Amino acid sequence: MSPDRAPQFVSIETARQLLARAGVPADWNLTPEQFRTALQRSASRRFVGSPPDSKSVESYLGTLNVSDLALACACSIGNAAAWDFFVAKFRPELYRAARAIAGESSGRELADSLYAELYGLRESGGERKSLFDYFHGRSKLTTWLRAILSQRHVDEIRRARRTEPLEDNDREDSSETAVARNGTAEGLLDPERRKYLAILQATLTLVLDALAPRDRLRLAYYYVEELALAEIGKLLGEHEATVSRKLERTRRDLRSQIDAALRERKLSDAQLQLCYEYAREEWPFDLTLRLRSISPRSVDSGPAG
Amino acid sequence: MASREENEAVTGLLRRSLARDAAVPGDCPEPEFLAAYFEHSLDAAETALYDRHFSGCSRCRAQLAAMVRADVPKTQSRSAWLLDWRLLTAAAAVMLLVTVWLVRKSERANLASQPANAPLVAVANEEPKNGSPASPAADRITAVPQAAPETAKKVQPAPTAPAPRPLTRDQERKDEKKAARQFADSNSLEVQAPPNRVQSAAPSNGQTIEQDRRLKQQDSPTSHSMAVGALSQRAQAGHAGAQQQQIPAASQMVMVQPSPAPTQSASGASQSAPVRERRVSPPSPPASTAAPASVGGQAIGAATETVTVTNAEISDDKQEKSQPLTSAYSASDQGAMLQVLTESSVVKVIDTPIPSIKWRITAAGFVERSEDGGATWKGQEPDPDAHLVAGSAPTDKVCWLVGGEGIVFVTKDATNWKKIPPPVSADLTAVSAKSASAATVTTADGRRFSTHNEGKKWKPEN
Repeated sequence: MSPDRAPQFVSIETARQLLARAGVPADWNLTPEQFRTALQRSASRRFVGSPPDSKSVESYLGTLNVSDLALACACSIGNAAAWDFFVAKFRPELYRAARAIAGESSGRELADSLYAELYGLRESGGERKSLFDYFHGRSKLTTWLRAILSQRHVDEIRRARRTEPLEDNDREDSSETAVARNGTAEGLLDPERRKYLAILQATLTLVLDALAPRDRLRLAYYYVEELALAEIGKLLGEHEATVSRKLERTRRDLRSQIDAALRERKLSDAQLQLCYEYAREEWPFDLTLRLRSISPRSVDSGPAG
Repeated sequence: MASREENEAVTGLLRRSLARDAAVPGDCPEPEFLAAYFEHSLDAAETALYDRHFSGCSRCRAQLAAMVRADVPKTQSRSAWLLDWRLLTAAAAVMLLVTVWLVRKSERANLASQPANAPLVAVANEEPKNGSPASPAADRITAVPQAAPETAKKVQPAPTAPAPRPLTRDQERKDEKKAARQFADSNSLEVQAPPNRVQSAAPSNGQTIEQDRRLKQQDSPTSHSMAVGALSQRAQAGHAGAQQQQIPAASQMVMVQPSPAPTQSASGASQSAPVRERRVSPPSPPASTAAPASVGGQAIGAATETVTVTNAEISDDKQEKSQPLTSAYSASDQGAMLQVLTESSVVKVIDTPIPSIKWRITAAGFVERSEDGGATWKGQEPDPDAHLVAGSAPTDKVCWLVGGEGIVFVTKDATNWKKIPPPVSADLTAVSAKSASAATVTTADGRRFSTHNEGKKWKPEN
């Protein structure tokens, strides 16, 4: 639904007040009507489905980064002064973030392509389309730019490493088949081994699915993305000591749940030991490839693929 | 507890399982929401929604991981690190330590700059310390404010004789007693009532032993018990050397060292028992009899004065060992004492087979022993009347001493001295000992005599 047809959540007076609060320079030539359009677009995306009350809208509008939104709006319109301001203030950060995410050379290319899209070199239906149109003020402009860079970079990696097919394959195969396919030659020859590995994998999947989203997220950040505790804490809004403590607790609970689930399958202690032993032998070799295929951290500085 | 191998297995399992999380097409949020989630600007419902999605979406997790890695603390100001609690805590701790150090330093400086009537600790000899700090019992004494040993070296003797302080007789006695005890404690002097008195030779002039001793005390300034007052007298006289000094027995101080347990001596006889009590009867001075005894050097009154230090007092004093002397002396007195004591040079150092153990004889007639190679010395006095000049120590416990008028002493336990009958009543200038019973002495005119039975019998060598 286009902003024009969407319910009008934002009045012109509200837009005028917010524009004044943004402290927009006069040479940006940003009118309240233009700004109201941007605000309306933002609110529409927020309150998709159910029309909100005025208080909710007012509260929501109060959380917006109106200065950045006004800049984005002015740049989207094509105001030269606003664009000069963006170049002076945000371009260095854009390129720095790109280099931090994708490396020196890949980062520059990434930033260049994004820079062009932000400027509005793309046209759609005869209209100049700028990426700024997709900025709605719910975050800072720099964070939004970094999110775009990250998304493009990860997608590029996944495309280059062809990890998409892995997900499809895993979804189709059963756990046991996957183990049989990915196992070593020795494992393939040992039916008992494959059986224990399959049982263990299935048990772990069940236990993981039962985890709280944040606990699972914490584990994934730590074991798959290999983030530091401080980084995980930044993402989850927790102190790194809290992250460490919760990780340890989750892991401990996980282990006890796995053992309990395996014992419910009538596995003896010796068989339990075998399960873990086979897992340790089997998957460390396999997992290294998986980690490289998924984690952007290990991406070389050069262009992928 | 899970074994290490099992933990490794679980780690591998976790990685594998979580890495297989698939991205659900169409469910991944746009960068706008990703950015808002990253900044925690979404409301609780939205946050929970995206938590659920991200926990199962490897693509979104990878994007968020890339964002956090690229995140720099650019929002912090250049000086924001200064507000880090860890840095502040460390800085506070450092400041506290520095403050404490400065306070202590100023306290020490205040103590060093205390006025002259600050507590005095008497000086025996000045010799460079070459070892670890002495124990309180073995502390060398310095005639300067106790708290500032470094200023001891700077104290200059008084150029003129100080005016005597008018003290009442009782006050004098109290001061003398206290000073004597504290002097003995700080100097670790061990003064024994020479049990050898009994064994000593009878006075040659027919006088009783007591009379003889008194006369000698009058004539001889080497009485250890006259330390403080005598030294003050010397200071007044301005004599550099102490050997010829005629010092009236003005202040008869009782220097009693609460020596270690009598078990030091194997014999356990009265000889080995440290002196706990000593009667001192200062002779009547020829001058004014009514003049009160004064630490400034004036003659003590004619009345016999008995100074007795009991064991209890000794033990009490020992506990107060660290307490400085009361300010019974003026600054000029103290300076004079320091000068005299400093000028009381060592006559002879006697080595033993053990390098760390040494003996020495001072010009004042004291015998001192060190167990730490000369860093600290413990004083002894075989005989207050003895004028000792030489010694020989064949072992760390055995030491022979010789001196004027045929004086010969020997100790077998480094504590108790026994007077040996001399071969001749001549000044002895050297001794060479082989054991506690065998030694060879040399007279001033070169004659040599040896004994193998602790002086019971002497045999001329040349």
